[in-house]
Amino acid sequence: MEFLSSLFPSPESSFPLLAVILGLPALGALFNGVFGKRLGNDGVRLMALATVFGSFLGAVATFLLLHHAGAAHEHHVRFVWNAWRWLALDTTNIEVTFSVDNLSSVMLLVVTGVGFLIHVYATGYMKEDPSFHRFFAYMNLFIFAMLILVLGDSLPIMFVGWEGVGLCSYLLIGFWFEDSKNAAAGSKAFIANRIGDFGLLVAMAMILHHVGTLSWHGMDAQAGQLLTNVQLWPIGGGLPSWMPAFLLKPRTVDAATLVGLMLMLGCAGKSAQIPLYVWLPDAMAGPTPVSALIHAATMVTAGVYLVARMNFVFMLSPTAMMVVAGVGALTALFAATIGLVQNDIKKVLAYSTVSQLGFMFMGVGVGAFASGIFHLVTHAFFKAALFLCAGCVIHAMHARVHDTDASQDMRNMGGLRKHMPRTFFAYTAATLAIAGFPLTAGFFSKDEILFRGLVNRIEPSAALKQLVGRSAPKGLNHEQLQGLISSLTTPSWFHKAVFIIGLVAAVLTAFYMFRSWFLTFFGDFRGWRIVPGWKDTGHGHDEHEHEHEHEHGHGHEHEHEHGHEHEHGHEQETKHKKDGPVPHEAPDSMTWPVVILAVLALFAGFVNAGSIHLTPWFEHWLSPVFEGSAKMLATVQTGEALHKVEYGAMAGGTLAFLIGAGAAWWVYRAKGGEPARRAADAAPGLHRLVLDKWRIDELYEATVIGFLDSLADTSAWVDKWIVDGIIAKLTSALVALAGSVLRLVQNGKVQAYGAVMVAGLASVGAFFVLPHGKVVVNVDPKSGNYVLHAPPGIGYHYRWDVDGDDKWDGGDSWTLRAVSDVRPANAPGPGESRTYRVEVRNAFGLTKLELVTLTRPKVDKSSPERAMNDKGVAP
Amino acid sequence: MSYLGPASFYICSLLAVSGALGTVLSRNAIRSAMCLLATIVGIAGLYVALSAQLLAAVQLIVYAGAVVVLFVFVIMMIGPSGSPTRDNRTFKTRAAGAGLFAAATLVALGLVWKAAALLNLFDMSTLAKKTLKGAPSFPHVFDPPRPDLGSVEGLGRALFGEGMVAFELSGLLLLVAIVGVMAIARTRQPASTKEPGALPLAPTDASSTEEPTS
Amino acid sequence: MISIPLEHYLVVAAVIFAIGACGFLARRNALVALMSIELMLNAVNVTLVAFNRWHGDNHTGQMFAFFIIAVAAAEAAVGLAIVLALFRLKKSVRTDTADLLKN
Repeated sequence: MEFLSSLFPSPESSFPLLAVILGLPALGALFNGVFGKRLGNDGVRLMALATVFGSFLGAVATFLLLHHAGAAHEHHVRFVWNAWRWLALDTTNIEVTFSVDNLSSVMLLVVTGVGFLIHVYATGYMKEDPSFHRFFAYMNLFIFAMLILVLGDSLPIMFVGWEGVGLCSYLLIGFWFEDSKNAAAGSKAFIANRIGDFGLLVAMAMILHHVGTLSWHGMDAQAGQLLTNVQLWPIGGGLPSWMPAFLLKPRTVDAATLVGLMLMLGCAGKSAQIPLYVWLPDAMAGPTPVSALIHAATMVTAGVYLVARMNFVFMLSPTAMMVVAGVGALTALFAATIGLVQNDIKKVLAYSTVSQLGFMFMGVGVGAFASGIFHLVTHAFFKAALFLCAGCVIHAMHARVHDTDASQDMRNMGGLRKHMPRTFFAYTAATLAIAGFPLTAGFFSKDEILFRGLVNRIEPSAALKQLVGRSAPKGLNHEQLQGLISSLTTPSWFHKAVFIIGLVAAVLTAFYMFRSWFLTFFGDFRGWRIVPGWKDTGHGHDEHEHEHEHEHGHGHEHEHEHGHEHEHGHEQETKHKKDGPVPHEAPDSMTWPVVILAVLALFAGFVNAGSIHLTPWFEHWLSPVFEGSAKMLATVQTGEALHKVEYGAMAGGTLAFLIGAGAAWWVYRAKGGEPARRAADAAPGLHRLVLDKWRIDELYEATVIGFLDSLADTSAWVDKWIVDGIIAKLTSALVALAGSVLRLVQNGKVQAYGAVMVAGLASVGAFFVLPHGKVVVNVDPKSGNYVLHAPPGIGYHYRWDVDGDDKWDGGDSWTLRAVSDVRPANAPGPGESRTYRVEVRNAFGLTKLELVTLTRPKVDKSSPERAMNDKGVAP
Repeated sequence: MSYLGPASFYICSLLAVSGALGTVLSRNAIRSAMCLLATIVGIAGLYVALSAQLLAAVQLIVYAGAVVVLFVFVIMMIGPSGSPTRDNRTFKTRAAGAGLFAAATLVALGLVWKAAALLNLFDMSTLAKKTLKGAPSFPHVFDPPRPDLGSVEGLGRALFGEGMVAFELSGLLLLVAIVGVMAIARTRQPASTKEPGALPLAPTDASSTEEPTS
Repeated sequence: MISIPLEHYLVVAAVIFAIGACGFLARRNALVALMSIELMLNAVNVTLVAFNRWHGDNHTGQMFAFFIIAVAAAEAAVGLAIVLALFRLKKSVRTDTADLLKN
């Protein structure tokens, strides 16, 4: 520890370890991307694992140092590393600065730690893939981008990482881009994220406008500036007056709410919340480690991180907080219902992820930022473990089933408990954790959220009173601010609703997770007839060989097709079953990361087990970050009463687990799935609807995408018939005309070119032959007289008339005098103007008459220089 | 004796200008080359009058001795068939060209005449007057020449002193020109189709003339 | 002593240059066109030497003329080689037959 501290004497101003943490994955990405093919798989593996592990070590060291520093001072410690200045704006500078504080150190550990385990897993999972190096280049790049996101010290830098992870997500979803379905899924993710990014950019611009800075600590100190009213037009200002009145009238919103909502739009895109969640289930087209790393553990939680990071903004607007919590709760419930009936094991986990992200937003939305982040961490453990287990199972299925969809279909699995003991253990542990089995990680984190959702009240008024005079917006007097503040609080019915929705979602979570557990690991194996000692003769064990025995269209069409079947695929039973080997356990490189994650999923909860009277270390660790927000929070009860509510919430969570798990046991184990079949038969329409994910994709297809399609069609029509048909025709006709004229000149004959040259020479000659008489007026600095300068030239002669008698001075004779000064007697008086003449004759006898009009300005003190500017020269 | 200078100027000028006219106007290429030779000789005389004796010698050696001979050589090699005997331009084009040329000539002559009159260039009496160099007076009458101007020693010192680099570069230029000429003028006939003893440059058969296009 | 002033040389040079330019523009015989170019170069040389006579304290003008003679010799050689190539291609030295770039 002392050694580490001695390495970084003043980490709060310069902490270059962050550069190492960031640089290593970037280096790995560069090497694997550029030299990967030449390095070979072993080299790529070494590079990828070493860089991420190095980052992880750096993260641990950072954490220890931070802990050390945080123990010494009880305030918000930040370690900063400033790379360079990016933009210098009028009001603020945007620095490429990275910083780590208590919150980002947690994220740092999760990203590098879980990231490393998944990298290890992926070396086994992707072993046979021909694009091994490309995969790890993307993965390292993702870690790099995610670290920028987490470590960025300001919104723009974070946005760079935000876009970077989006890019890597796109690249990795479409990793097997040979299948157009995968590429389409990547595009969908990208586009859904763009919609969210729009919100994030708007929020950034608004913060820059109202607060004037975009760095975390700067915004934290100045966030009160956002408590100002802004006007919002439905379409935009400056519409013509014949438009309907409701389009012309601006609404008044306070800036904090608007910024909060826009940030939430960005978070909804990245973290797959309603209404932008649709991309995440499709994102499962990517390799399973990608699903685990990006679409479960790290990237999709960036939205939660951002809300927690921007807590000072959200806390100013209970409206925005209600939206965050409400969206989270609804997403949690909604996604869980879809998860109930999915047959694809990865799809179940995907909807589960959406649902759990909803829980996190619920947590941060009710002001329990530490609880939300805690759930983020535990979710990273158990969801990564679940996905990796699913990967192991799929890996085993690929021994005989090569179709992507069929190998992930739980109706083809079953009974794997005996064959894959390690995977079974890990899946069991993670399922218990996510379902909320008492004392597992998920139990603590989920209960914390539900409990906080019930008791927390966002009442910024008390703390905001302190803001008056500190960073409150100008132009608001004390009374106005008081009025604004007193309106800010969240209603209690909302909290009850959030709690109940969360509880229902928890029941559903337990149900669908245990359903997948039973279907996958219990009963008889349904994939093929197990023949011990069976040798594969036809197909090599190539797990990513996409053999489309039955060509499926898009994912939902496939689901649709199966929707007519019942839970256990009759299709498979009626078909002649193939022979196959005993399903095998995955190699060690895949199982060990899973087991480690599973152990973490079981026991990580104890770091924040305040509910069973252990020290809530995690909450204390994060408390400096949310210090300001904590002041704006109140709880409905305090002391012992609060604990009673906590126990009640805990009991509710346990009950939810029991109900969900018990129901799953009864349906899928005791009765062998019969009740599910009967329920589906009883309400076939509803079943189909849920199986089709409530047809939200179709709704978007019909509305937003349809609208855009028709817009595109219109544009295409305009382009084809107006732009191409009229404008382009005109242009091309013009060009053709010009061409046919110019072609006469460009005739390929040397002499024609020579003629053009001669013409040019002749014009130059004409310049010299013609006389030039442009007179320059100067002022003699000594006498203040005007001096007229005629241009000099070979053989030039001049005659002047500067005395104003309309006759040439000195008769009609020509002189060589090119300069003539105007005597004061002949100069114009103030306000007057007089005209003088000069005639120039060149060597060819050509003459030119030049008139010069001088005007002296009226003002007495005006200098002759002024007069110079006012001179007019008439031809 | 005092009129020898002006006389030699006018004789040489007349030779040069009439030779130039002959070069341009002659139908026969050989006659053109001969007229060019006359021009070159006339200009060499002007060089002598301008006290550029070495340059006059170089002019005669290079132009009369090499360039004109080269022209004549090429003309002979091509023979009368290559030189166009008939101009296929229409009468209108020719009339327009001639008119344009005549108009331009008239304008130019008028300008020159006027300038000459204004500058007293025709006033022989002023020619004897020595005017100060640099003063804006016309005409510009030459100083007596310094003895080393244009001599072998004077020009040689200048060439191998300040003009050394340019001189070396001009040598390089000539080398490049030699190589370039050989590259351009060489015939690239396949050995099999070439008859033994056939003149490579003579356009005797179609294949030899069309060969470079392929 | 009567000496010929600078302007007379310049006028002679201008006349030769104009004749050369007209010849280059008007004649279709590539050989005569080349000769016209030689005329123009010589005319320029005359002006250079005449101006050198006026500024008699250095040799810049004559040096310039010397290099122009060298360049003219090289140009004549290359030009004649091109005329030969043209003749081999088209069996003619008319410049208006050299219009391959046109199509």
